Amino acid sequence: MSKAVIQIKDLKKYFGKVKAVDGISFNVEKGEVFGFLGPNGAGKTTTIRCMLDFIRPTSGTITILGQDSHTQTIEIKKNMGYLSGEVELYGDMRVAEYLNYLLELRGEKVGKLSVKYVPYIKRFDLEGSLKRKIRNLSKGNRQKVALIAAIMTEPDILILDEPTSGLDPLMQEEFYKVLTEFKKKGATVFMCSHVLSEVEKICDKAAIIKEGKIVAIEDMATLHKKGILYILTETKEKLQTEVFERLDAVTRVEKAGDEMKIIVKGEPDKVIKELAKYTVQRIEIRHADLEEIFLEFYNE
Amino acid sequence: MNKHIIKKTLKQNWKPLFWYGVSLFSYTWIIVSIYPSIAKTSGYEEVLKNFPKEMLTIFGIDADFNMNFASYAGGEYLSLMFPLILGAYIASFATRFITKEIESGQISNLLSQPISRVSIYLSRVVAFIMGVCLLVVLTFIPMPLLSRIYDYTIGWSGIYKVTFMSILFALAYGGISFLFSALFSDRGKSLGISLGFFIISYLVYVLGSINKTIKNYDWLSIFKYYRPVDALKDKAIDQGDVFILLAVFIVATILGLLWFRKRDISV
Repeated sequence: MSKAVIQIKDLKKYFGKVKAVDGISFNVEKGEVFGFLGPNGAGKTTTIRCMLDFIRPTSGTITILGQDSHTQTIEIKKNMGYLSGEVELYGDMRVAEYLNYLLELRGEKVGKLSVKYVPYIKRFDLEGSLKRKIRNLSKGNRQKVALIAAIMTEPDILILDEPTSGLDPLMQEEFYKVLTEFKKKGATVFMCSHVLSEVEKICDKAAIIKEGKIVAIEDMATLHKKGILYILTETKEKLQTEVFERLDAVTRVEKAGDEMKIIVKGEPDKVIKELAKYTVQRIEIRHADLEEIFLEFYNE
Repeated sequence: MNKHIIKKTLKQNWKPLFWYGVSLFSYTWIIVSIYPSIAKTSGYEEVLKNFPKEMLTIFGIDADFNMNFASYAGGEYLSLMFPLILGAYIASFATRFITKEIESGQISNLLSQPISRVSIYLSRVVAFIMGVCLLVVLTFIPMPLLSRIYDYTIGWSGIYKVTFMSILFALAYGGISFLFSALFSDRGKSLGISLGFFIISYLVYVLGSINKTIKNYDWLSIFKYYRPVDALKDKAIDQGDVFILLAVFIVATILGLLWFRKRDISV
């Protein structure tokens, strides 16, 4: 039986002629930290908005915790924390007042402060800001408040859109620790990020979306293993690039100074065998990091 | 409905509510305080009677004008200034708590919580009703009390009637304003259309008394069903007016609610 907490099947969202999301499907398993990557306008936020029932899909289905994201959105949200990519809190409210308000909306009884958020207030160094109006906080502190609002009820699912935007490196580290704790408790995290090193560091799996379509979806280890290889080589004889370019696994061949850079997607066996026909003076084979993988997908 | 949203909405709106309340109460006080001297001024009645009938209609004054507080307040306040002030408050409230929250993205704070859109919308409407009732009460209930300071009497019966009809009028326009707020994501647009509707509605009603062609369409104006001077004079309330104003409020609120529930909110 599938442990999928989030199931998206053939999701399409069109705005007139614009295909913001064009038939994407994927599952997010329980306890997984799932990275959703793509440049601006690729369809990341549209997907999140559909998941949260802010907008309705043109077609396709989204099931979260076994419930339909549209008809049972209230039930789903009881177990969900959300951080928007464009944080817009109520500026005229004080930090404690805002967090209390959100807890009250969830049916919690709160006094002046709640044990739900006080530990996070300390961890994110916001003790001095509890009584301050949100509009007077720095962007980073507003981001922290929004982050605390998303995690304070310790939900089973976290949907985070650019969670570390505006956070300093220390606070980013604190956030990664919090996510690790959530993961240990079995929570599922779905996050969009532009910070690829962050995704590489904390996600178990990642999907790359391009022009509304999923172009890759792999767990991080596999993405590295069967992802993209960079073969940098220097041969005594002049390399016949067109021979390499004809190989199925080769994406392209570039000249990089005295070296040739062969970008391989998939099994490198035939490339190595072809290279063996030359006098190889130097060779370096390495896996592309997530950023390079990401760029390769977008250069296609 | 959600009591926390209602409470928070009223708290967020207390400043405009306070200042509109102060303005309306002050205007009421001025009208009540000036009336005795106007009533004593000979010729005021004659001057008004010489005005064209159509001109008097604009200010809610009958052709068979007799100087009394209701006629005076109708001409000076209730037929134009009061609806205008109330209309500005209503359009501003509805567009602030629906469209502006969508435009700014603040509504995601509510939409991401386990609360239905119906609950969000109705909570805003309830907060609106509470605020607007307070404004209408602050306008009319002080009238009989203040009149005692100036040694004359304003009857309570007419005050209750005009308060009731004014609340219905405010609800009708409020329902329409909420509907426009639910339709758009740009506050400037929803505010403009909402106020535009109000002004056109007023002009259709007023110009209908001058122009026969326009008169054929004055049933479309909500002002046709709001007769504050008659109510203040303690004339019987027209059941048709009550029904239409109430129906406009209910139908517009349901339409706005359905649209708000169905629409995409890209925040």
